[in-house]
Amino acid sequence: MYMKLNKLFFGAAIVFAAFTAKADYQLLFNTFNDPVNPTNPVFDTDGTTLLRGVNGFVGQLYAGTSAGSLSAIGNSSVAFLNGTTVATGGGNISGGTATKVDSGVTSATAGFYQLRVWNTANGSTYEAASAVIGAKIGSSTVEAVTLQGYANGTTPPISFPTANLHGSFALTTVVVPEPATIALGLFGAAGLLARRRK
Amino acid sequence: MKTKSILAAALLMAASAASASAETVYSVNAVGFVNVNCPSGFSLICNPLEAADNTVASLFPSPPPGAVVFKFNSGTGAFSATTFAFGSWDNPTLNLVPGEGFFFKNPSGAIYTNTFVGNVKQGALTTSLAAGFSLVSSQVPQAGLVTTDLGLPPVAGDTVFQYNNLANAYTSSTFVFGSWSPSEPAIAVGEGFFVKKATAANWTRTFSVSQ
Repeated sequence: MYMKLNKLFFGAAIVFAAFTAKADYQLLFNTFNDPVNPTNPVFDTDGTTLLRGVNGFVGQLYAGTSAGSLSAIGNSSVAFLNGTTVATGGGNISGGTATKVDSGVTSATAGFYQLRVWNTANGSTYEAASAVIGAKIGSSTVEAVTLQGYANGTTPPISFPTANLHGSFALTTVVVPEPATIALGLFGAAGLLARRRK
Repeated sequence: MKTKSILAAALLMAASAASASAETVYSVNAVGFVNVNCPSGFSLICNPLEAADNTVASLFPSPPPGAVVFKFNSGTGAFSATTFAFGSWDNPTLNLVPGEGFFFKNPSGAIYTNTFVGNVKQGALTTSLAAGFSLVSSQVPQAGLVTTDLGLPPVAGDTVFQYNNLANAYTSSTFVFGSWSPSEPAIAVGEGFFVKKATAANWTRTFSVSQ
C-alpha cells in the first residue's frame, strides 16, 4: 500500500512538473505611450532634461505577480534613446522584449511592473546605483498588467503587455541623512513625548 | 504538379541567360512583388520573397509609427521584438527570411499594406520544424493546402495554428488518423502559421517556377 501511494505521488509529481515546466511571460519594453509624441518621458533631476542613452542613462523592467514581489526581468538594462526631444524619443526606451521565467504564470495572469532608471556610471544595476551617494536614480509607479504566460504550451502565444502605462517622472539624487539631521529628529520626538506625559 | 497556383500578386518573369563554353545554360529567376495587407492589430505574416536585404529595416522601410515585429524563437518559446518609433527600427538588422513567420503589429486604425520585393526561392527548400512550436511559412509565395499543395509532411498529432486577426484568436487543425481534422489548413500567400510537433522534423520541398 505504502509503495503504491509512493508511486502515485511520484507519478503526480512528474505530471505536475510536465505541466508547469517552461512557463514564462514577456513584457514589451517600450516605455512610450505614444510613438509619435509621448507624454510620459523620464527626466533628469532638474525635471526638464530628457534622459538620453549617450549620457549613460539606462532602465530595466521589474515585474512580478504581486506589487510587493517585483524583480528584474530581461537579460540586462536597456539604454535610453538619444533623441533630444520627446518626439525623437528622448526620455524613452525602445527595448524589444523582456522575459521573466516564472513557473506560476499561465496565460492572462494578473501582474505588475515598474520601470527603474539609473546611470551606468554609478553601477551596472539599479540596486548598485542606489547604494552610491550622489547617484541619480528613479522609478515609475507600479502598474498593473495582464501577464501572458506560455505555460503548458497548449496554444501559441499571441501578444503580451507593453510597459508604457506609467506616467512621466524625474530622477532623484541618492542622499544619506546627516547625523545632525537625525539627532534633531530624535530630540523633537523626545520633546513631543515629554510634553504628552505632562 | 500542374498549375501550382504560384501567384505573387503580380509576378514578373525575368530570364537571364549565360553561356558556358560551347553550350548555352539558362538560369531562370522569377522576380516580383507581393502585397501583404496588415489590418489594425496583430497579423501573422511572412516575407514571401527572397530580397537582396531581408532585414526588417529594408523590408518595412516606412511602416506606421509604433509598428512592432515579433519574431518567435522556438528554442526558448519566447519572442524578440523590434519597434518602429521616432523614425527608425530599434533593431534594424533583425532578419526575416522566407520560411519564417512573424507577427506584425499595426497600431494605426487603418490597413497597412507592405510590398515585399525579391526572388521566388527555387530548388530544394528546407524549413526546420522544432519539437514544440515553430512559427513558419511557405518559402515560396504560393497559396494552397498546407500538405497537399505546400508539402508540409505531417505526423500524427501535429497541429497547425492559424491566426485570425479579426477574432484575435487562433484556429487549429490537427493531423489525426491520416488526415487533417477538422480540415486541412489553407495557407494564403504571405501568411505565417504555427506548427506544433512532438518531435523535430524538416519540411523539405523542391520547387521550380517552371513546374
